[in-house]
Amino acid sequence: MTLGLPDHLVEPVLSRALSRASHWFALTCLLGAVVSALALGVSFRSSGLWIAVLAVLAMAGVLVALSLRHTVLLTVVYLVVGGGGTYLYTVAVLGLPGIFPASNIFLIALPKLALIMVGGAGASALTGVLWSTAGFVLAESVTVLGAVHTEVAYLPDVFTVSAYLFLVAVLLLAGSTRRPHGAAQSAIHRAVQAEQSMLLRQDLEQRALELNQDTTLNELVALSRAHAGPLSDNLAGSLRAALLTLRGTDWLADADARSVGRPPGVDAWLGSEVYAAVERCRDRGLVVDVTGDRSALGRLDAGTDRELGLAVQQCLINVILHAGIVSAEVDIGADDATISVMVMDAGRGFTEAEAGADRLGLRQAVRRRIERLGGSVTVLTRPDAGTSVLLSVPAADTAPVIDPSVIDPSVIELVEIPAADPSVIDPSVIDPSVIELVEIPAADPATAPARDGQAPR
Amino acid sequence: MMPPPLTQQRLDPLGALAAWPLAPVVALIVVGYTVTTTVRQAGQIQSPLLSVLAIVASAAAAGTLVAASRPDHAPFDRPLHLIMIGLAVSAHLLDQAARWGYNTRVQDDFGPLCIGLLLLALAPYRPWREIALSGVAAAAVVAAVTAVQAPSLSLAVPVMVHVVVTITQVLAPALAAAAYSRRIVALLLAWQADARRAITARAEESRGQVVRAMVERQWEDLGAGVFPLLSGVLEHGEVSRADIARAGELAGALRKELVRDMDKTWLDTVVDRERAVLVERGAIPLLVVADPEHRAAAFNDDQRAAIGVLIGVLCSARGFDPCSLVVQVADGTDARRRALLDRVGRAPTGSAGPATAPVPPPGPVAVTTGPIAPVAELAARERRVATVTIQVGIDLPERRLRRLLRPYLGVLRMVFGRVRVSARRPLLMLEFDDERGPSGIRRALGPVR
Repeated sequence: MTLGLPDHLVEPVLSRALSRASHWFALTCLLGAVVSALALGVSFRSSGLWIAVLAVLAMAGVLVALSLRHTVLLTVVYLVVGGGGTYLYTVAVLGLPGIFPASNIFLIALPKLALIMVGGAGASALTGVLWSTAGFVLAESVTVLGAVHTEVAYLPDVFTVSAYLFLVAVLLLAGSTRRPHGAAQSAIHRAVQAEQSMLLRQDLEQRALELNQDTTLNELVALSRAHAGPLSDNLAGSLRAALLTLRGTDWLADADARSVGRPPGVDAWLGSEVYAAVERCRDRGLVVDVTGDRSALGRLDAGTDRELGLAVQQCLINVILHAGIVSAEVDIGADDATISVMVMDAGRGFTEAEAGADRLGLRQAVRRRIERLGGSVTVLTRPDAGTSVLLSVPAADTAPVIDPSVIDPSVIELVEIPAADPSVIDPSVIDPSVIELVEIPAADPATAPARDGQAPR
Repeated sequence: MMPPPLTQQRLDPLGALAAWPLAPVVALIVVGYTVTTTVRQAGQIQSPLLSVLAIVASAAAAGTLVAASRPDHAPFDRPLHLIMIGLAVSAHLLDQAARWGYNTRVQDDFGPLCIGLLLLALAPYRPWREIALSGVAAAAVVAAVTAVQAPSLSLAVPVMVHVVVTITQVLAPALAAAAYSRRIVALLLAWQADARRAITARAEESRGQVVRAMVERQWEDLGAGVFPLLSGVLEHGEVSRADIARAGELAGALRKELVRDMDKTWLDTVVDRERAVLVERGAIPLLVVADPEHRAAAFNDDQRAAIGVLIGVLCSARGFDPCSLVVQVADGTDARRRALLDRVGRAPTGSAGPATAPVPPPGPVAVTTGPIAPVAELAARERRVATVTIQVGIDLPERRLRRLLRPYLGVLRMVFGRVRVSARRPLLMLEFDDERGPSGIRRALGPVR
């Protein structure tokens, strides 16, 4: 994710991160000071050094507390304890006879560096600068005092001064940072936001598209193929249902809210949307033969059930519209992980060469829908040998349902066949770019045992 | 695929861009400190050659820092991190070797402090663990070298004190940088989670409004033809020839519309938006999206936002030619990409076809890619790349153009594998790759969601 900080958050966030960094810097220096004082204490047996060790440890304790809780009080306590500790440490180290000629050694600078890195309370970088300046002044003052006390020459050490200057520079940069790219950052934020609204809109548009595909277009096509004269009952019923759907707003509601859970006790098959789809197509005069494990559909959740139902409906409508035959077979199968529905007809079939410029049915209403559920669509067809569309969707994992009629997609070898007769069929519903054209090796029972008797007639 | 390391540069590219001036400053301090300490302690140096080599190594380490943290080189990767730290440690070792046995005080040696400063400068660019580990490793080397030469040093203190003096100079800045890196990443992640939540909530709030607009539009569309036809047929109870003809006509029109809308991706929406803005301003825009395989659908939110904002900036830039924008998304291994590349500078800006028309096939230019070695072929198959190419005519001096684009390119570099910019006034070409593993490709071919 690259959603950078907006202007108003830059300073507080950076100053918190910098404050954590400076505390770790300080803690490392204090640890160094403690180890050095211990080593010197062991070596020179000076009691002042033991006191210095305790003082520096106390300082480290307050620093840890300050790092966890940024308050003005703790900052002041740190400066006071730190000032005292630095003084005791300086006096103890410089007090060692004849070792250190002046106060400008790194060893003496250790607690001083820790004092500068006070970080301090407050969210602004400027506050940090002020606290660090206070720490710096305090550190130098107690060093002067310590040098006077031990009669060692005081010289300002380059480490403390440069660390202070560096810290101030970083804090000031953090305080003023991001201004040059503020416009870019807000543009990116706006874009991310627009992206979210766009996703929402796209989702709704997709549903409108599906509605038009499932309902409007199908009805228009059915009407355009009707014979002039009295309206048949089937067509009238389907037109009425379509108008009801199109005039309502249910199709835009959430899929979850829309699909009310099946009441317990109702037969899984009769309550499923696949059943509803089959019934709707029977109303339009298609003879649909249903085989296989119908109860397996009960394992689908409401949303998947609904989408699978609409996909099956589109497959059956394709049979009505394009196969040139009035019967179809729906075979339902299941295994542990998937539910599959195969819609088969013995109609005209089609080949890749029969592509139309506008290609919709399988691609939009079937393939996209099923793929969105995480499933897959396989189309098996050849001219004059019928079409089988295998829809597989993931199912809720329950006890395995074993059924001999289950169609195992793995046994279906996909082999492209040469186009034989690129004529008769309305190609408008077929998109060759998204479907696999396959030969059904009906002659070889070894490769497709499950489809015996179901192969295109 | 390994997830990219969590760093400030990854999460907040513009923040890292703002912190960039620190890198050259640190590099200057390192080089300056190296040279001055070496000159001031010339008396201790026994081997001037080693000393010169030490200065060179130190300068090279500083140079690596500057080069690797440069905004147009982002992101700062691990190899450069290791090279930098390796050079810095070598500089220290060479320096110590140059004055071996004659070093008086370790606190004045440039090595430890320079290593520490260079590690400190890594804070916005590298993950905290790597910074801390490099610090500890470098400190171990420094400690060993210090301990070995302790007897020859002038101050009569325990070895441990000498070691503390040197390793603190390495560890304190390194641990500070690691702490900064860790903290800022945590704060950025927290902010991003909050921001995402807020954005989603806001989008949800607007849902009702969007739904209403959608329903109204749908009714409006259907009210013109479909509703009257269907209800007329139902009312009369019979189908006339005119009804049949009308139904066929409406079905044809609707099908055409569905086919057109079905393949739209977010990229089309972005470009449509810019087109509308340009039309509003009175221009006659010709903006082209060529994404025949709908690869854009596989891009993630960040990539979409980055491209969307970049296109917006390009289209609103002064000197933008409203007939010049071409956005192409192609297979990175596709020869068409090369064709576009090779056409830069030659193609007149008006050569773009009508909107959504695919870019013309490459013709003979495909030859320029030459034969691909089997290994490369295999790699290409396994990790296909979607390449986005944006071509645009903007009549601006190159420097101003680069300044305008810098922050957006900074973001782009973080969300895409590789970003290339070439400008030949007035033509600007931006090219970036979206590297994806097999799963990404599967998503790319999957449904729009």
